[in-house]
Amino acid sequence: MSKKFIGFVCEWGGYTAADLAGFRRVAYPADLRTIRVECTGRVDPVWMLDALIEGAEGAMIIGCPMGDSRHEVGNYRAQERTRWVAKGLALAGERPDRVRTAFLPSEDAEGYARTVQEFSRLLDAFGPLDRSEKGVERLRALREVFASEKIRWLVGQGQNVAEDADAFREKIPPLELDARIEEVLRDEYRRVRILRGLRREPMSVVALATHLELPAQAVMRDVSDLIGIGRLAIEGHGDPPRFREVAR
Amino acid sequence: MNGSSTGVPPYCGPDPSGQPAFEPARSGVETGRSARVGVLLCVCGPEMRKRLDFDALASFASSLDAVGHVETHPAWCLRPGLRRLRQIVAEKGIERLVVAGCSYRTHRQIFATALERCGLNPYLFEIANLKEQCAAVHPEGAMARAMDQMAMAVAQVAALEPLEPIFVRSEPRALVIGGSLSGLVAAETLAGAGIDTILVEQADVLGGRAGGSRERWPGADFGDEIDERAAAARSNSLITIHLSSKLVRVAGGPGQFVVTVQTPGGETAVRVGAIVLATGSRPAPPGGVYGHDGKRVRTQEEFMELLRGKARVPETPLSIVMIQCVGSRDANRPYCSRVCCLYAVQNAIEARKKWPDTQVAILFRDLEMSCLTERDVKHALEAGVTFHRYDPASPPEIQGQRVSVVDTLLGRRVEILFDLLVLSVGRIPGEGTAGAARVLNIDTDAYGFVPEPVVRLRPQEHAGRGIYVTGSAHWPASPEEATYQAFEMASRAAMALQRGWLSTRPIVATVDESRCLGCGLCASMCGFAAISVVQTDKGRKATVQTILCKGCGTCTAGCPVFAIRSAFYGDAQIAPAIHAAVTP
Repeated sequence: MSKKFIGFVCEWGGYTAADLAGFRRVAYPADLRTIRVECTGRVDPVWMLDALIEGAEGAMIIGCPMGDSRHEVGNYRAQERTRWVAKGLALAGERPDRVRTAFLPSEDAEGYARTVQEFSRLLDAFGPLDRSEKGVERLRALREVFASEKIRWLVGQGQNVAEDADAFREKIPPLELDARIEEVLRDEYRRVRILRGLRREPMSVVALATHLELPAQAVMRDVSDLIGIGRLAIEGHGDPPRFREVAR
Repeated sequence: MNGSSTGVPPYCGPDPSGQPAFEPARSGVETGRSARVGVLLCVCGPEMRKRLDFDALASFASSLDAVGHVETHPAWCLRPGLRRLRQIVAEKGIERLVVAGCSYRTHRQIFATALERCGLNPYLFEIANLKEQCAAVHPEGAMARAMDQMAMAVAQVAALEPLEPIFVRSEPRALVIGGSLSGLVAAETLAGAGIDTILVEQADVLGGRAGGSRERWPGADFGDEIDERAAAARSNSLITIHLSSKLVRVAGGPGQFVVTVQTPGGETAVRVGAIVLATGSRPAPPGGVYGHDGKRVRTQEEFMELLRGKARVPETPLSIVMIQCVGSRDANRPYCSRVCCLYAVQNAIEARKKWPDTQVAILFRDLEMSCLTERDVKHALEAGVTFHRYDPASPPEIQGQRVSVVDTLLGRRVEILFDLLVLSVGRIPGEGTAGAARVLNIDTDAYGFVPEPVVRLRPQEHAGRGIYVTGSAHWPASPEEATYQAFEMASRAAMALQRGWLSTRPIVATVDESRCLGCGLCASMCGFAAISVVQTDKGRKATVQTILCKGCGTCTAGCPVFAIRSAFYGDAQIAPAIHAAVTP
């Protein structure tokens, strides 16, 4: 069974280029599975992670060139969202390049074929994704992070602030902004893993830290924060105390 | 828009009058597990036959959940195939369709139409592209991909929901911004089509060219034409003219704009279906270049006043020198204004006729004479006008009453004495353009004109939003071009208004108000200004102006709380496709 990867193609850029590659008989690897969307801006970060969780080795977005899109801004958003999913994959111990974007003109059939070819080779070089229980759990946690209100808002608003300015009409240096969002992403990922771990079964901090392979101190701090915002509660009267997720 | 604070009544959604005559009736289709998907396999093209095993594909398709019927045909898109499709729909009870064959882009419309004729919803349909995007490009592995893409299409189609086209009523009234030539022609055309037209002009007189100066129009009789058009507009009972007025606010959308106009007598709000932007262009301020003083050194427009104005010329000029591209086509304004050469040549001919003893010389870089006006150059040469080509690297120099220039065609320096220097300074957008564009929320280019942002992909960008840009507001145009454009744009607007409704395809975003937090992130992400956040009785909520929505889904994928749904490309449709793609 050879690997597969998903290509999200926009109807006006990627799909059209793929059609042209067909007319011109430009061959490329057959491990691609395409899903057509109206615009790459439609591609939800969650979809890319779904693809990886469900069994794809990678996910790529192929759309129109920047500034030459039928939908104006969709590809800029897709690029930024993919950048953050890639950073998330790095946090989860995976290769960030398993998700990537390519933006090419609809007449660039060779470019389309080359893009697919390169990604296919890259994924071959990476080897199969870690599909152990823990590996998949890390991806699922990441999916939950990218489905969370906080991260989705930050990714979207972060781009607004980077392009325009913040509410105080101040321009934040891009690297500083990135570093801050990444910090939040890292915290959120850790917390989601803790929540998911305790969702499965109530555990003590030490057991949880061992299970998640995280420093107990960090887990302790997060657990205390999560109790503070009502996401965790103490389970029973045991010693050491065990914690459980509060159903919402 | 129910309950919104903007005072705009609801206008999106199906036609409220019931079954409009133009919409064919459709049978309702249940969504869900009971969906019966027909899979049509198309055997077309040599690679298809060579690289795909259609028997295996057919039996694979039959094994998929939701599939009710599978059939192979040499060409489903041709007449026999489409006839057979009708039979299948009637006999097999097919409600949804997957065609495994050509490209969605080339064949969607054929099958959508066929489904509509069968009484099925055309949006319960998907194509698995097994030709261009599979067999043609995969010497190996085509079969595995073909099966997956087919399974994906079936999964997607089974989850689709029937969609109905969206109609918006349009108000049979139009607003024309700008009382210049294109604005007057547009107003006249709209009124001629029986449409109530409101003409708003910033200056206190109609006629354009900065303050309604009829002498500033090129061509001997053009000023008269402008006057006639202005008089015709004033006497037309369907045209309401607001002078010294401007557009200050716009609410609503195409078909149902609510525009607020500031007039000397106060603000007045009125509902219009279309807006024509005809704010024109004006000469760039010369800013003292070549010692411009408006008398001995004039712009081409100021020269026109001298040439055919009522004011008497103090003395007949003996030698007139015209310099083209002054402050134009340089680093600051790199564009060609297109009309200056035409005006210069026409004015030169006119000057030679008016003052037969006067020498006229034109110093040009490239003589840009479009279409038939090229023959004016011949007429000018016959009339004795001299032409000298100069290199922008060494522009003409002035010493007293003498201009010195290297004529690149003669290959030597030429010196001409003059007593009147005329500068073609190029054109910049009319004074009202920036303000109107801001109010209408449309982008101007780097120089302030309003061309289509991506003309290759969306040539009718603004018209799609109910805004018709015409004449020099769009890009510098000659009077003839401005007239044509105004006729065309006004006719297009009139067609939409006379029909009484606008329609858009139903692949649009909708807001689930029960989830929406009113954060406004979607509005900031929308490239079409189709989303706004309004106060409702349940708090601040995002609302989509469906007629402006292009269905790109950028808002949907960015919503922090998944409160926006994209029709056709929804999570409910794509998630099963992802699953089907990678499931062994």
